[in-house]
Amino acid sequence: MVSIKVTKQLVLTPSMGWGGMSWKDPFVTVTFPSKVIFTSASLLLLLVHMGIFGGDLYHFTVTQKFDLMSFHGTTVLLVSHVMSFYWALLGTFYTLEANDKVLRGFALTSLVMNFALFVGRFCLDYLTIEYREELY
Amino acid sequence: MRRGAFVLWNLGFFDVERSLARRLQQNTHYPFQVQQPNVFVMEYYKDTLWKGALIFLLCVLGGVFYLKSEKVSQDYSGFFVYGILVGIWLLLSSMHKRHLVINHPRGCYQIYIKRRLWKEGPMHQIYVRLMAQMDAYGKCFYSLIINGHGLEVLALASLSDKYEHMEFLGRRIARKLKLNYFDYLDVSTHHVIRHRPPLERDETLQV
Repeated sequence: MVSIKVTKQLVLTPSMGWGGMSWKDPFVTVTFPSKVIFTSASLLLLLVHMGIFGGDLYHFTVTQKFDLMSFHGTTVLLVSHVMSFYWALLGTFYTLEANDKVLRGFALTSLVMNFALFVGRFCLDYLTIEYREELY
Repeated sequence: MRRGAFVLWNLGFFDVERSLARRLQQNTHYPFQVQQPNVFVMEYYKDTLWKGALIFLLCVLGGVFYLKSEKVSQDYSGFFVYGILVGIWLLLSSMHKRHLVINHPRGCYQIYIKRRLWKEGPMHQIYVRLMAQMDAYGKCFYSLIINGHGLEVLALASLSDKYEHMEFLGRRIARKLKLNYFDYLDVSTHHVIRHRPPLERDETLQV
């Protein structure tokens, strides 16, 4: 068994890596990596859902105006919760695969907060089920 | 038969390998154009352009009809708003033309979006692959794709069940474009390697 020491240098190809890309390019061409899109979409939806959840809690406990709560949009809201959780999960998988530390923190935060908000939403809807409008 | 920048928007479901063979007869280096010897250029729009436009149009029409209809206790207009936003996003992100350049004398591939260099990489990181998807009965459907590091997946022929025909076409495309060709299995004897990743500096090679 002969051991050959290869001292040949790395073949220098023209600018491997980003190749002269500036930070403005993803915004000008509206093209982002998938993990960035999924994570930021799930974070955006998380903020929207937290706002709706906070508004529901406020109207239920403080002002007691039950017709201003989100009962009319529960179907859309629950589907939106599921979509947001699914995108957070996809974003987590992509960032874990790519070993991107900053984005991984955001993706895991988004995942945990989405799950907690989903559980909270479910509990709130179950506890306030008697305050829904009844149609005969 | 689509031309020009819309050449990758194939909508056919039947005999995809025959239409690919027909296109290869017309253009030997399909889907690329030969600019200089060993320099291949392709300009294309992503196919999410028509998908986004379709979703946007359907949601706008559906939303208008929904607003005119009788209201029930649940409000479903949120779905149409969602669909419009997703459609707009898909349209915006695939609005710009992409140029893919395979430059053999320089030994690199480049992809330009809206005339800006998006990604440049060495030749061993772009390849032609036969991809397989299995349906519920265990039958394999094969697609030919061109993919690479930092590239968007380009589908040349999708969902055919004729393995030998697709493999023949895939190897022929890889031979004309002088790229690596990979089989659908990760470990296989059908791979054709033309470019290998270079050895790193001072790596000991045990022979």
